[in-house]
Amino acid sequence: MIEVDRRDVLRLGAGGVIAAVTAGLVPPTAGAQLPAPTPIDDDIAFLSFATVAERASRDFYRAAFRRAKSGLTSPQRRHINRVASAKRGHILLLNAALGSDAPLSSDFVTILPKGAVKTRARILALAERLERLLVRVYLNGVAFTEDPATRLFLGRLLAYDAEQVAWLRGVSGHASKAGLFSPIELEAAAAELDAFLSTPDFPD
Amino acid sequence: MTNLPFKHLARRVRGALVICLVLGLAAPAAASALNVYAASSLRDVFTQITSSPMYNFAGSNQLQLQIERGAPADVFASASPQEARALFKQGGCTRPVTFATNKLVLIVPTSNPGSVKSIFSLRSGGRTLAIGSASVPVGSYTRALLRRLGLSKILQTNTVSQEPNVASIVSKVALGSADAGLAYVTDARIARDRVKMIRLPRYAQPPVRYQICQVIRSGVDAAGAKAFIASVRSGRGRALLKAGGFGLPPRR
Repeated sequence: MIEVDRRDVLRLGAGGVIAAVTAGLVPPTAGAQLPAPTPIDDDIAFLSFATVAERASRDFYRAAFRRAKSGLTSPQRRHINRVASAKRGHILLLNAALGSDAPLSSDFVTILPKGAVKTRARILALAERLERLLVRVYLNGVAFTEDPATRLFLGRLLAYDAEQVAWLRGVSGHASKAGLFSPIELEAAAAELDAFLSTPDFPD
Repeated sequence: MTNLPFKHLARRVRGALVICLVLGLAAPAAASALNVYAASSLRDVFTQITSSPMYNFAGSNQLQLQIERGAPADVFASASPQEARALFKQGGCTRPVTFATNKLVLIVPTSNPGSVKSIFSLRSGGRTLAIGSASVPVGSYTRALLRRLGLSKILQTNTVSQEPNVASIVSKVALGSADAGLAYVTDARIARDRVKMIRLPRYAQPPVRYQICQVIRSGVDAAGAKAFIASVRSGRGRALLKAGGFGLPPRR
């Protein structure tokens, strides 16, 4: 049985804790301290991609939550809101790991495709697309990151986002896909992510 | 006979007087000319905004050093906030303001002899690459970009020439002395008949911000500096910056 510290419950909210504990982002015991990521050389690449992509994903979840008539049920909307909050926490952790290399929130703006949050089906499809992209990048990171603490951190993020993929597939009525996720190279992942980004002071 | 040396002397004195007069008239003009020290990537656009100041275009770090050592600059425009802010912190200039932004692009000669298709092509190594030295803004932006892409190692696997400013990077690539280079999009646009631009992933773009400030020193042309900064930030200045390919910060 996983023990959860009371302060964590108050801080994150019960739903957030359940999600975070199951995803491994909250230490299972109050005293457990996980090593802080100290990225070596190009380990930064995975964290940099993650912080920008997680931000895009959070912005999307927020937009989906705000859309009251999308067809999502209230519990589903609440779940999406909790995920957006959890992702905010993940972004803060990623930025802390990146230190001075962390991109500023003003560096990028998330661009969502037209009508992305109009219907339930569109929300679920785009959310899954973003989560799968993140999971595949984290897999690549877990395979190639040099610093063990950074690898562990990416593994924890991977677990959380993989759980969201499972939730999204469950809600959309699709059984979990047979087979395994494949890692994706940053080159291909960057091309996918670019579709959701714009630089505010430098429009294309 | 005796008249000749006198005539000669008189001619010399007259000549000297003319020279003195010319110098005397020219001196105040030269002394009042505004001295603008600006990052080399601003050369084209600044001279379009106004051609009247005396410009000194070079790498921002080099200019910062010159100003710190007492160079007679009135305005300092750097390609990253770091140099202008450092000068501001020392009391060497007024609070810097951001007036333009830029982006990095990968450039290759139009013939593309290195068959470079994307920045990731450089992973295979064996090519010549022109980048800014670590001390100039374009060089530090490049290194930040490569770290974000997980490509820092390409600086070991390719032959790298480290250039003092962005103009040297572009000319190296344009002349075919390098298979590829990393430069600002604005400089690449100027040489677009000789270089091909390859876009870089957005998420990895470091925020390139130009800042400008009025230098603080005795004898500074404060009014001229203020007027110059205002003209750069004016509607016309912004339009010219935009036409030159620069990004613009929101108006304050």
